[in-house]
Amino acid sequence: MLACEPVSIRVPALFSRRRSHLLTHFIVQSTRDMTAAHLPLIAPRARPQSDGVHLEAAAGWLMKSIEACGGNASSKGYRFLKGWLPPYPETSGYIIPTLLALSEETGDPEYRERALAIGRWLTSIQMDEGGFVGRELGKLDKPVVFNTGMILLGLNALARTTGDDEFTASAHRASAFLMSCMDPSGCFVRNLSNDMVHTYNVRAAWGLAAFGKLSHCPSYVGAGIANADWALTQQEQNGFFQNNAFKPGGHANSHGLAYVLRGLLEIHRLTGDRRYLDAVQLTAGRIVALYGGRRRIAADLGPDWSYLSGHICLTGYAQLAIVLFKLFDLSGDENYLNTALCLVDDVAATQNITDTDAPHYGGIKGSLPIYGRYAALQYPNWATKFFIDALLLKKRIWARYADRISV
Amino acid sequence: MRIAFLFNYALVDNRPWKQTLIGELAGNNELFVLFGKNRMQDYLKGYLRRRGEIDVSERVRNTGAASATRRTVGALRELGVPFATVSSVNNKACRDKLREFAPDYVVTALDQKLSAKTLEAAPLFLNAHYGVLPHIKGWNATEWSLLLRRELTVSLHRVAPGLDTGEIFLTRPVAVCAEDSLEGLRGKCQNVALDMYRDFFAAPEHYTAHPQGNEGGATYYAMNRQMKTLVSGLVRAGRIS
Repeated sequence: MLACEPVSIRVPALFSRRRSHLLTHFIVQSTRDMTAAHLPLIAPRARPQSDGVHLEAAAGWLMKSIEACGGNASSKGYRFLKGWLPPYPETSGYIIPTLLALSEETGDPEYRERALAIGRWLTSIQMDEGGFVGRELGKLDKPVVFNTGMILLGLNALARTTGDDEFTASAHRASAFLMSCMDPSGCFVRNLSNDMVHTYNVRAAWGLAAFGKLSHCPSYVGAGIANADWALTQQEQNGFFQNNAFKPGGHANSHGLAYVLRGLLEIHRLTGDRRYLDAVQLTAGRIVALYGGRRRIAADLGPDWSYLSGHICLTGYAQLAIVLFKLFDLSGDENYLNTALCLVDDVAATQNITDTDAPHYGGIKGSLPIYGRYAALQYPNWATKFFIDALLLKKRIWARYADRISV
Repeated sequence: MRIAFLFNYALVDNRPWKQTLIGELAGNNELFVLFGKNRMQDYLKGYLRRRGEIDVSERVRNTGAASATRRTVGALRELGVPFATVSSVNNKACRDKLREFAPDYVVTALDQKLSAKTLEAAPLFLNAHYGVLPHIKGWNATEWSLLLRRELTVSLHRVAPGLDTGEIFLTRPVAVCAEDSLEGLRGKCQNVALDMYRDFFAAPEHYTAHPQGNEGGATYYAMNRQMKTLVSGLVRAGRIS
């Protein structure tokens, strides 16, 4: 049974002024994106403004997504003809560390308050098994590994920051649930999204291993490592990861690929095991070469790294930038830094930072063009979350690098 | 000597050095110029791609192309140098034209890689690389050389199937001073390259007999605007040797 606090969602009425505004907005966006994609000579790519401007707008949008859910959760996103969507537990969970980082960055306690409120809401909807439901609240009634792992990352952040037993106890239950979903090889085989194995679940394993370190529970760490080891068996010699689609018959995409890379990279940082770093670098090298050669990374990718879609996934761009910034931090290889900077610029160039009164002001689209298959016609909350993470990481890494070079 | 020139640059910034080199070599050698791009959409694609990487107008301004009064084709007609156009440097027509002329050397100035098949159409394809080989290969090699090596050289090398991977015949330093802009340095590189081609064709066997290896290093890609700003700062601060 779900124990759920009520959240307020405003549903726009048919033919209301608000609905007309939404319709107009998405028509304008679609036309602009289509023109930029197919007629670049007359519609040049916008040049990004300062990172501070983009960060402030993105943080404002994220807070609006929380306000839209009564302050206790983040809306899944803002969508064509629907406006703000219902709360999304998974991404609300991993938005928590972003809010805590924003609070630290800006000194504004409101971000921390929202993080705590989301944390309390999540503990209230945790299922008896310890897991969390997949998709939007109310759409599924079974717990899902990946969604639980993402929420665990948020609970970890709160447990570490506040020391509150409520979050630690919830994280323990979530961790036990994740362990119960593994087979002896470390592969998550039960309670899976779309009932299929996903290599990107290694990002949930990161949450498990991180909580194991935090709570001094070696079994959680061992389980996280076991899944990371299994994920390594999915990597081909060319760096591609098998079993990494979201749906049966679907293609791997840059979003899921970045999940795998981040999971393995963070487990490397927790354990010091070089094998995970080597695996991430193998794939990241392909990403750098792909982007460098073609100036874009398609949303959908084939096993030979062929481009299987015309649109790009802006979420994937921001996530890959984070991975590449972290790899640069570890290795000092400027190729990683350069590609990460370009990816952040590409995402920033798509952000609306002019219509301050518009509901999409500061948000990041799922796809470019906005009608691309990935999160079509919407601004998913996780796209903006990862963009903020990338900007915050860039600020730290770039300042250090520029200082070192200029000395 | 029989020397072919293979060009397909969508920009005009290297027009002066092309005309100068062809003019100087025309008296004592048999020359043939092949333009490897003749469709508007290919020029447009090339331009759009370059526009994302460089400030086109600044490049043209800084490298003197704006002052070139003649198109290269006009200069070739005046010199009596034969020329032809094909739609791609990597198609059969291009290979056939090259084989028909049977050059000893092919001087290239291209915005794309040559295929292995095209490279089989002549014994030696040459390229002037505006960066420090063997360390810095690929795009924006000038900027990457300044950032990572704190120096700038031009290398004349064999074109091989990889990117900037062929053996090196000649390397010359480029003097960098605090007043230089990044695009202005490209003009300096072109002048150095012109001198290198002159020297090379004065005694090609001398240079091809003892090439320098080009193994190692790394391939770099179009440099991000913030990194370019950082590099410009290094130049202005006199931090380049």
